[in-house]
Amino acid sequence: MATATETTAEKRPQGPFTPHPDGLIGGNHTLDSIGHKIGGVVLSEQPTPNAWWAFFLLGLTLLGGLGVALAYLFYAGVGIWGINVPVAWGFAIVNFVWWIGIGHAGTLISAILLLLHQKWRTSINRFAEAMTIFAVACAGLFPLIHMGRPWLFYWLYPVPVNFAMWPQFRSPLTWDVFAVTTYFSVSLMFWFVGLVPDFAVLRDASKTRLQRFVYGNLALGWRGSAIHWRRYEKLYLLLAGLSTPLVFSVHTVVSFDFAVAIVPLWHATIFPPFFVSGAIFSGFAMVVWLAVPLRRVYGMGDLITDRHMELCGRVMLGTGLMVSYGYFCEVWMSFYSHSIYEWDTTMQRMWLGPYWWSYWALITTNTIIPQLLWFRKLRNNEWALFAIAGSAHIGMWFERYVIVITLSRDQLPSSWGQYAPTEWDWLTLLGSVGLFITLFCLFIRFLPMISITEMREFLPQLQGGRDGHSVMENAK
Amino acid sequence: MTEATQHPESHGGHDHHDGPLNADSFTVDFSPVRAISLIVLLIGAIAFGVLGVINLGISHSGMRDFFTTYLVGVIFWASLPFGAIGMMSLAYLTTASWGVVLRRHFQAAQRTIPVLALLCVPLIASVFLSHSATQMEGNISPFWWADGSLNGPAAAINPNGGMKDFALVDGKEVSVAGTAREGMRPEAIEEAHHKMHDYLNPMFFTIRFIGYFLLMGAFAYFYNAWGLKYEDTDEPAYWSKLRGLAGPGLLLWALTMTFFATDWVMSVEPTWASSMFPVVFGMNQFTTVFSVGVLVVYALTSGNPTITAIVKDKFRIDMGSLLFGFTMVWAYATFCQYMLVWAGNLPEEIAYYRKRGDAGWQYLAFFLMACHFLLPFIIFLFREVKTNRKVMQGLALWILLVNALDVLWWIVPSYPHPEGGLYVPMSLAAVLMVGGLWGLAYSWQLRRRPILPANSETQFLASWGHH
Repeated sequence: MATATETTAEKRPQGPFTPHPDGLIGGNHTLDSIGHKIGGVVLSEQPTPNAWWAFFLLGLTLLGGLGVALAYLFYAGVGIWGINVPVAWGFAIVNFVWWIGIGHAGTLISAILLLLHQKWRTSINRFAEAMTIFAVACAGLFPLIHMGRPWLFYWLYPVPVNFAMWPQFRSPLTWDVFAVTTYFSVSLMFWFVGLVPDFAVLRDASKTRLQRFVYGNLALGWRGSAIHWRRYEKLYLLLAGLSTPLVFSVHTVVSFDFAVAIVPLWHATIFPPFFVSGAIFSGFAMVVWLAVPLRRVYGMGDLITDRHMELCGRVMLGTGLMVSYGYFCEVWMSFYSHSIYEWDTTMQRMWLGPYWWSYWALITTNTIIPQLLWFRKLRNNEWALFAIAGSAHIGMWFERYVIVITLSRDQLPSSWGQYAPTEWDWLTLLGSVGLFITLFCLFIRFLPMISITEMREFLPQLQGGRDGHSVMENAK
Repeated sequence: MTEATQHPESHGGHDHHDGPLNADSFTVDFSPVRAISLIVLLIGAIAFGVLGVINLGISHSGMRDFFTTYLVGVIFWASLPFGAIGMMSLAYLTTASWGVVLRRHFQAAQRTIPVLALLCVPLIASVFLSHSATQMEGNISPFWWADGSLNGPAAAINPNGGMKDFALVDGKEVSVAGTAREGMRPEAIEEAHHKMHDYLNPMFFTIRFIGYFLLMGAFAYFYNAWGLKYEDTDEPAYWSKLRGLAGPGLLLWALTMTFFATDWVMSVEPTWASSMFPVVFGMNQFTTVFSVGVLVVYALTSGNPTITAIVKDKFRIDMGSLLFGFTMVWAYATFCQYMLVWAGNLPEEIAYYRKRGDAGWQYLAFFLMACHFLLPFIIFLFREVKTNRKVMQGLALWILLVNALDVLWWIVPSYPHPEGGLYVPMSLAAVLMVGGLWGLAYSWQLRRRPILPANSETQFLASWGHH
C-alpha cells in the first residue's frame, strides 16, 4: 500500500523487532503492515468476517424496531409511553443522558489525552470518536421525539426575526440544545480532520474507481507535503484545545437540567462533576465493549493491546470511584444539612419508596462490582473487564433512572404516583441500541477503525515510525 | 501529569543514563526559607496583635474576630500538609515527573502535620469556651453552633444574620432580623438545632478532629518512611508499597477533606450545605500546596546548574499546565456552585451568597473572578510563561494571595459586622503569622535531605529525551 508518507522500499525496516517497552504495540509491525492491517478491512483485502454480518443484522433488526416504535409514536403521540405526572420525563431523558454520557470518552481520549501527551490514546482514539458521534446521535433522538411534535424542532433555536421565536434562556434545557449540537459538530470536525491523511492512504491504495472517487474526494487533495502536515498538526492541536472544555460543558449542562430545580436530591451542587465523571466512566466502559470484538473479530489485539485494556480498566476504576463519591455526597449532605425534605427523599429512594431496588441495583453495579478493578489480574483479563464494563452500562443507566423516578414521591402524599415504562419505551431504547450498532458496523466496514497515520507515527523508530505522535512531539 | 517517570524496571527501552547522580550536587542553601518565615512570623504576629486590639474597640465581636481571622490563617496553611498527601498520592498513582521534582516539598509539608494540629488547639479551645459561656459573655468561636446560649428553647438561628435574631447592644436585646421576615422555614431552625445535637457539638467535633489528624498522619508517616527507603535503596518492593498506598491514599484524602471542610469551614454557616464545597476546598488545597512547592523549589534551585539541567522545560511545562488545570477546576466548581445556589434561591442556601454579595464583600467576589480565574486563564495559555522560572514564581505567589483571599471570603462574612472592623487586614495578618510559624517547621523539615532524590527516578528525569 504505497503512500506519500512512506519510506522507499530499499530502506524499509525488516523484523523481528524488540517488543514495545510500554506494551502499546505488538506484532512486529512495519509501516506497510500497519497499512494493510487497518486499510485492508476497508478496501476489502480480506473478506468481511461473518461476525460483522451477525452484528450488522442484529443492529438492523433493532433499528427496524426503532422505525416501528417511532412510526407508532408519530401516529399516536407520547401517550404510548409510560410517562405521566409526576414522572413526566421517564425513559426519554434516562436514555438521552445515558447515551450522551457514553459519548464522552471519545473526545476525552482524542483531545484531553492528546494534550496530556498520553501516547496510548493513539490506538483507540478513532473508534472512540466514532462511538462519540454515534452515541450523541442516539442521544439527540430522545429529546426530539419526546417533544411530541418533532417536526417543530427548530423552535428550540432563537429565530427572532422571521418567526419571533425566542426560547427561555434561563432554562438549562435550552442550553442543552446548544451544548449538544456544539459538541456534536466539533467532535465530527475533529474526527474528519483526523481522517483526512487516512483518506489519502485509502485513495492511493484504492482498488476500484468508486473507492478512488469517494476516498479521493474525502481526502481533500491531501498530498502529504510538509506544509499540509504543518497545517494539519496546527488544526489538530487547535481542535483538541477547543474540544477539551466541551467534554466538561455538555454533561455539566445536562446535570443542570436536574440541579437547577429545587427538587430534593436533584438540587445538589456536586451534580456537574458527578455527571461528568459518570459520563467518562460509561464512555470507557463502551470503549472496552467495542475494543473486545475488534480484537477478537479483526485480530486487532496487536494494536489495541492488553496494556490498552488495562489502562481503560484503570480509568474506569478512577472515574467509578468519583461517581461513588457523588453517591456518598448525596447521602452525606442530606444528613449534614438535616433538611427534612432531603432526608425524607433519601429514605424514600433507598428504603421506603417503591423503587428502592433500583437504588441498590445502581450501587451494586456502579460502586461494588467496579471495585474488582483494583485487582491487576482482573484488569488484565479481557472478559472480566468486559463483564465489569457491562455492569457499568447497567449501573449508569440505573443512575439516571433513579434520579428521574425520584419525582414519584414528593412531600405531598396526594401527589405521589408510580412510573412504569411500556413496551414502546423498551422498544425505543433497544431501537437506539440498534441504531448505534448499525452505524458502528458501517463505520468499521467503510472507514479505518484505527488511525493508519497515527499508528505509523507511533511505531518505534527502528520499525520506521517516529515513536510518538507528531502533535505531541512537535508541541514540546 | 503527563510524561510518566516510571520505575526503571518497567522502562527498559528508555533507560539512557547520563552517569550516576551525586547527592552532593543536589545540596542547596535552605536558609532563605527559614529567614523569610521568621520575618513573616514577626510581621504577621505584630500586625495581628495590634490590629486585633484596635478592632476590640471598634467591633462588638472583637474577641470573636480574633478567632475567626485566626481560623482563616489555619485553614489556608492546612492546605500544605493535607494537600501534600493528596498530591503525593496523585503523583505516585500517575508516576508523574512533578512528583519527583516536588518530592522534598511534599514530604516536608506532610511532616508538619503535628504543627498544624497544635495550631488548631486555640480554635478548639474557643469552641469549648463559647459552649460553656453565658449569653452575656457571647460566642468567641468562629462557629455559630459553639454558642452555649443557643441551647435554650427560645434561641433562634438566622441564616442571614448569624446565629440569633437578636443582638446585645449596650446590654439590651435588640431584634436585628426576624426569621419570618427573612423567609426562613420554621423547620430550618429546628433542623439547625438537631444538627447541633447530632453532629456539630464540641465533643464530637474534637473527636473527629483527632481522627482526621491520625488518619492523615498515618499516610504522611508511610509516604515519608517508604519514600525515603525507596530513594536510598531503589528497592522495587518499596515502590510497589508506595503505589499500593497511593490509591487508598487519594480516596481517604478525599473523604477526610470532605469532612474536614464541612466541620471547619462549611459549619461557620448555620444552614448552608453544598456538596460542591469540598471540591472547591480541595482545589484550593491543591493549588496552594503546588504553588508553595513551585515557589520554594524554583527559588532554591535557581543557582544550581545540575538541577536546572535536570528540571527541563518539558517538566516545567507539565507543572505549569497542572497548576493551570487545577485553577480551572476551581473556577468550574466555584461557578457551578454559585449558579446552582442562585438558580435554586432557597433561603437556607442563598444566605451564604447574600452575605458575600453585600457589605463590600461583593468587591472581593469580583476580584476573585478576575484574579483567581480570568487572569491565570489568560496568562497560563502562553507556553513561555511555564518555562520561565521567574514568571512562574511570581504566578505562584499570586495564586497564594488569591487563595488566601478565597479562604477569607468563605469564613469571615459568616456573621455581620454592622459597626465595621479590621477583620480583613487581621485575616491577612493571621495568614502571615500562621504561615511564619508553619514555615519555620517546614524549613526545619525541608533541610534534612538534598532537594532532589539521588535515585533512579531523578536519573530518569536527567536522561529524559536522550535517544
